[in-house]
Amino acid sequence: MINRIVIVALCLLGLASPEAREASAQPPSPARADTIGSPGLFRRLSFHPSYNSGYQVNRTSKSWDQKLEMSRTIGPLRLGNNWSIRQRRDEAQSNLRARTGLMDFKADYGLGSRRIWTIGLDGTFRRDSRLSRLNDQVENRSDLALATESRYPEHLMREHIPFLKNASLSTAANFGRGLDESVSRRSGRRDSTRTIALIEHYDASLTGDLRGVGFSASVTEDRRDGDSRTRQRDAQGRLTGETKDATSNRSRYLNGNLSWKPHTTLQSDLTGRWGKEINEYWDILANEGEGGRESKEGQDIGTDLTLAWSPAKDYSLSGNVRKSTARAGYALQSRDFTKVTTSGTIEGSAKLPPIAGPLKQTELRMAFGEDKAENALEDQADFEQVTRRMRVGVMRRLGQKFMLQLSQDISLLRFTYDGGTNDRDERRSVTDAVLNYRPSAIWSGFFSYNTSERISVSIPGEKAGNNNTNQTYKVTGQVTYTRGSMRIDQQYSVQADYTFYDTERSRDALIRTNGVQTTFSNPISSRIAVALSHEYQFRESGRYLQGTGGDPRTYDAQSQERRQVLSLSSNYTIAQAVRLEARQMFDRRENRTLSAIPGRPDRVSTSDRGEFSLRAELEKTFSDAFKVSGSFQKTMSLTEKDFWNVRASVERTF
Amino acid sequence: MSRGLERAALPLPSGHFRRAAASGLLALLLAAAAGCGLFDLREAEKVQSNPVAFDTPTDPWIALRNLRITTAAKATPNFERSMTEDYKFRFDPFDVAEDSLLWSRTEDINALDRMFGKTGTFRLTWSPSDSSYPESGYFYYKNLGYRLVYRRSLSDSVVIQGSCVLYFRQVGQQWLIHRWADMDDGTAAPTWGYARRNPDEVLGS
Repeated sequence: MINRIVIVALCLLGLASPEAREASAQPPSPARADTIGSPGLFRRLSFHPSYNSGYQVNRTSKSWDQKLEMSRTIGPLRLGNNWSIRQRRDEAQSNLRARTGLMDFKADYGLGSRRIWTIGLDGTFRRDSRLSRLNDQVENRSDLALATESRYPEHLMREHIPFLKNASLSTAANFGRGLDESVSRRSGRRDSTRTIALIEHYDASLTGDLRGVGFSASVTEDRRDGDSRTRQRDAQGRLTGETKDATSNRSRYLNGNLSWKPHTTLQSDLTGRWGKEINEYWDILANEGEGGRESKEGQDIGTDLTLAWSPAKDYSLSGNVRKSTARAGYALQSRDFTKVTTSGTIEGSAKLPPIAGPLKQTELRMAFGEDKAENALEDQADFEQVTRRMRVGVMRRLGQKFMLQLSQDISLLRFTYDGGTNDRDERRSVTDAVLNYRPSAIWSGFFSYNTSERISVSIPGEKAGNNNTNQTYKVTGQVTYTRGSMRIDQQYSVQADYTFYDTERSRDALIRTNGVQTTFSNPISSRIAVALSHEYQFRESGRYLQGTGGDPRTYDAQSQERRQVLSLSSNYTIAQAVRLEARQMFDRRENRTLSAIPGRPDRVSTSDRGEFSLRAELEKTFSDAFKVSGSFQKTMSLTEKDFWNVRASVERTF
Repeated sequence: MSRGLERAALPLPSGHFRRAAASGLLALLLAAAAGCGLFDLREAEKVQSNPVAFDTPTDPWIALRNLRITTAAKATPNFERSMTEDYKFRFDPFDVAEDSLLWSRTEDINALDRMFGKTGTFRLTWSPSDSSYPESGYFYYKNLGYRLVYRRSLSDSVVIQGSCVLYFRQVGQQWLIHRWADMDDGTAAPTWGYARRNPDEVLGS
């Protein structure tokens, strides 16, 4: 079937009548012909397909994506054809082989001087397969429909409704047949379903402007009604069950938008949507395990209002309010749910004015938002989820050499269940302070202080034993020396990570991490550069011991890790488009489990990892219409099997 | 003095007024949001002693033992204690649609709550086969087999079986699970992931 359609599509695209070809062929612009270098046949046909291809290897997985897009207009006939193929293989995932193929074509004929009415064919063919050592799954869909699109209603609307004379209205409809096939094999059992369906699709959209208020509205309706046959076979291929059933999937969506700009500094937008879906199908779970014809009705209603005020350059204030309701009702099963979501956001930014005195020219940013979702479930306890968040940021230049940035984020997540069985709160806060210092063109640096806190509170007594607080403090400093193209960076960091439990203090823990990283990079010539990097990290984990008889709690270090990573890389740019890189890396870790018994030695283990990788990069733009790029890397390792990382792509418009 | 008067007599440009108004409004919103107790936490109830034994998982195998014990007790609090905050459950790609492969800790705990709400009993057995060396706070069990038997009555039971890769991360002294990648093991039994998603189908209503 597909082959036949492909042949027809290619015939339509490439082998149209010579008269039509001559009529439609535009003389190619000299610039385009020069840069693209299209083969003569494509140029003569005035036909410019584009092809993209990308190939990737990432250790055990390989994937290849290809896309071909073709379109052509021959007088009143408009043709389009797109192909997309994706292949993936992963030995590590039960030897998974996945293939997805999508082909669609569209051919329509325009009637009237300005194509006021078009009629034609739409086809979509999708093939999906996932095969592995243990399971196979194949899903196919083929749709073929008669498509029509008309601007005639717009013509009538403009003629008879004076205030809509500048609005635009488009209407379209499709009618056709579809075939769905699904096969799954699991543990020897094979289930297959085949559905032949009738397809209907209608849509209309209206866009315009009425006395300064922009508006748009659209309505879409889809129907897919079919007869399906499901067969089950056992491992020996014997038919163990067969079901015939009528399926129905219907949906209707309405969307509307109003936008109003009463003043150059003010903007408002109001959006509304309404959608309804009805699905009818055979469900093996429905009706107390007997199976039955299930009907699911879903509804989605939403509104969204945004107001934005920009009183001056660098000043803005905006607010957004949203409300949406999603409902689903099942005829047989007890899985009905309703989710009502309400959310509001306020955001603003300002550069403080001169009346702010010493704080003038300080940039201030602020955002506050709250989301509330009320969930009513037929088979579980109802619950409400509230999320609040606030972010404040301050940026201020201190003279010519310093820049100070401060930010504070705080958020609260709250779950409230009917009956309170699973109520819990979680608050997170992060504070960042960064001071940048640039005394000269050669020296620069920064100092940062970061602290974060997370408090988890379960309200019910039986779950409250897990309530804890985690606090992290981190201080980082960096110095950079730049001379010409040479650059030396040194970064220091000290971090402490505390976890405190509200009740079980014996589980309290502290992890301390200190690190120094030094990087040196220097180009030897315009084509060759080398970089050397060294990283040292010390990490100590421990716990707290409860004091006895009034003694204070003491910290007991339990394990230590020292890690050093040394890496050397060199780059060689052979030509503008080709670059080679070699990298050697040596990573040594020493783990020490400290002995809790006096006299017994610590347990020490060391692990070494060495890697040598070679990488070639190619990136060439021959023209706007022809680009190739790729990178090929082979890594040889002391601790694992050698592996490849490959990325290659080509983009070509003929 | 006269200079001050001159300055005062100057008309305030409307742009300045708008900027001052915007800055004031922003500061007002900030003060209101920060000072209204919007981020206050609720008070927890008095802690009840945990009826299910839980050993601090200072080694990954202790976490497996905790899960076995808590499954038999049909209690999810110890599952929560064994998972990191950013825990994710990854379904076998053949069990679900590709766009719903991952579940958060909350979704997974809710699903386990639904499973453990059934009236029968559970018995879990682990079959470790391969694992990494615990280093730098990370560890995983590869192809870790599991067999979960749900017994509705003396003569009626359901077997849930599969394998998984369990990734652990060291938080303080504890080894916590931060990712559970579920896999079918080629037998006819449903995986735990499938049972988590469809408890009524697998275990009965």
